[in-house]
Amino acid sequence: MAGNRQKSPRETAAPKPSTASEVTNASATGGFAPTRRQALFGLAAAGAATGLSLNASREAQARSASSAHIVIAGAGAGGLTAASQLSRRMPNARITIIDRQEHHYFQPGYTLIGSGVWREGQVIDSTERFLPANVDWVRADIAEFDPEGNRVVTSTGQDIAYDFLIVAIGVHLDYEAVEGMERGLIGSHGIASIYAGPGEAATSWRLMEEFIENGGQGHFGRPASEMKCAGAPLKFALLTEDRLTTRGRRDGAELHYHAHNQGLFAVTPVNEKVRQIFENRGINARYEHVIHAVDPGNKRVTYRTPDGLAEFDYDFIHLVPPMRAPDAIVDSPLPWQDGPFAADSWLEVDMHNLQHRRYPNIFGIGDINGVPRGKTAASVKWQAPVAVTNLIDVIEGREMSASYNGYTSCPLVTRVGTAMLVEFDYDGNLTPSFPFIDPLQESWVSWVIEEKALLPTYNAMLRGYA
Amino acid sequence: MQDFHPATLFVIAQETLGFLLWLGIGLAVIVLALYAVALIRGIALRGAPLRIAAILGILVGIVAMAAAPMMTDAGFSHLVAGIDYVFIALIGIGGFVASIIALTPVFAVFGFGGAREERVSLTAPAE
Ligand SMILES: Cc1cc2nc3c(=O)[nH]c(=O)nc-3n(C[C@H](O)[C@H](O)[C@H](O)COP(=O)(O)OP(=O)(O)OC[C@H]3O[C@@H](n4cnc5c(N)ncnc54)[C@H](O)[C@@H]3O)c2cc1C
Repeated sequence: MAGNRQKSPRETAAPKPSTASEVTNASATGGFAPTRRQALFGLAAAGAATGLSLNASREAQARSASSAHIVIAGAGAGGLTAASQLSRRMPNARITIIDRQEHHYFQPGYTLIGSGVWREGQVIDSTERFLPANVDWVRADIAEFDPEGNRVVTSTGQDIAYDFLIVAIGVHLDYEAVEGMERGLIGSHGIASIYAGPGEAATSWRLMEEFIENGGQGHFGRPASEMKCAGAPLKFALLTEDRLTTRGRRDGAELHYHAHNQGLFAVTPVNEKVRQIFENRGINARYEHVIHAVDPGNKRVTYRTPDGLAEFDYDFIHLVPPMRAPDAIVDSPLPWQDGPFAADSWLEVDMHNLQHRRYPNIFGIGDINGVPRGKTAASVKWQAPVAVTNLIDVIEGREMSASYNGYTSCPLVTRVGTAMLVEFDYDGNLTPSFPFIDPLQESWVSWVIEEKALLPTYNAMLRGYA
Repeated sequence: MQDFHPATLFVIAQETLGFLLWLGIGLAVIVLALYAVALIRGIALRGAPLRIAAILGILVGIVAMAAAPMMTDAGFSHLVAGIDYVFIALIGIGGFVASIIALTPVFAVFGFGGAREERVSLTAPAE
């Protein structure tokens, strides 16, 4: 039973071969980067194509007999994957995971809920199901990070000391940063947002259906901040267009996509392809339009543009909020102090070895990391073994041996029934897992991977396998 | 190669199929047992049982190809890339081959198709 699992973590750190202060800030050797594997093995291998692949590669070999106390902040995709891998590779360690969420949400499925393909319940699981037996779960938020004292304080007042810390607390969806907007407005006044959760994604589908019925002005776009799954706003626009077309209501609607800069997607060939698709399907792209305010009562939306504020009427708007680090990180010494990731307080980690640049006993996994790209579940798949391997290397006093190459993937759904398997790295190179699937070609096979293979492969990842 | 570690593949299969995985494993065990029975009893796995299994296999393959897009909330209009047709063909071939493998021993052992062959004793004295 859930309640039986929780054990109060001991206040004193367990004996350990190397303490936080002894750890040296070894730089990544770049000894090996995750290599792309190219093979087909039914549906499972299809899941691999999305980056949630089956690479139990060399990283998985490094083990440690250390009894260090490792605290994992956040039990989302990154935290659970790290917990599962650590519990197997460090059988003597004391592992504590801290998160108040009883439920685990498969966020990549929100797009499918929002477009009426999946039901809400299909993305909801329990956190406990994915937690290994030897991991302590503290059901609370972390209120304070104290990296100088090697401790965290929870929202329930627990003071938890650690030898090593993995930060995986995701992003904060800052709806309030858009003037006139608050989370509670989702589902009313034509405001949809699949990002907020499964319930809001289901509500967004209801609003999309109303829009299909009534027609009018449809607004889509993305924030100027770093964001998770930058493909999702594009997918939602394309799926709305597809639903309108298949219901024979396309003529009644105008669709406008608002890009924060001069492009629709950060990777050049993908950008060109999406631009073409938008053109062919009559979705009007407005560049350098960043959402500034909404007036729900009057159904008006204002964008910041290089020429000042631009105001439009809308009937249906998919609002993707600006994203930043959660407050506990913002208020701590852990974010970048300068550079492009400082403004939104992303975690200051090295982009390759994922170790904190000032606190060598801290590593980051997932959306919280202040690295270019990498805010997808597929990235977690590649980041978790790198962070875990390097953490073990540090514990064992070795040079860090694993390196993350920025792998990011997002099956770009173009219709209910077709998608493009877009995978790329830090340098914007396309890194297709399967040579026989063209990443720039819409296909049903890629849709099958999105709809059927992603969730089981993701769940296997959380269990420390894929 | 560790990428396709059996444990990993098993977990993905488990997450994909749920209890159906155990059903599938159960059926596979039964089919294996039927092969063993056929071998022990010297029942030939050819002739009518194989022919009937092949005919059913063709039907299963066609049904699988027709149903596959629908089972993914899609339709035939969504087969737009060359790889889609290859994949659909593989599904059909898979259905055909799996049916032959699974059904032939069933028909042979239970005598459907009337093609039981007598055991040939290797130790029987020559007439
Ligand atoms: C609409 C949408 C579509 C997406 N599509 C795709 C896709 O197609 N492919 C893909 O690969 N990825 C996709 N993603 C992105 C993917 O879901 C995320 O990148 C992934 O979940 C990141 O994992 P994470 O562990 O960093 O964060 P999360 O999974 O969000 O987990 C963060 C956890 O931290 C916890 N937490 C927060 N604050 C605290 C605190 N103070 N103390 C303790 N715990 C805390 C939260 O409760 C949560 O459980 C999509 C996301 C969305 C929203």
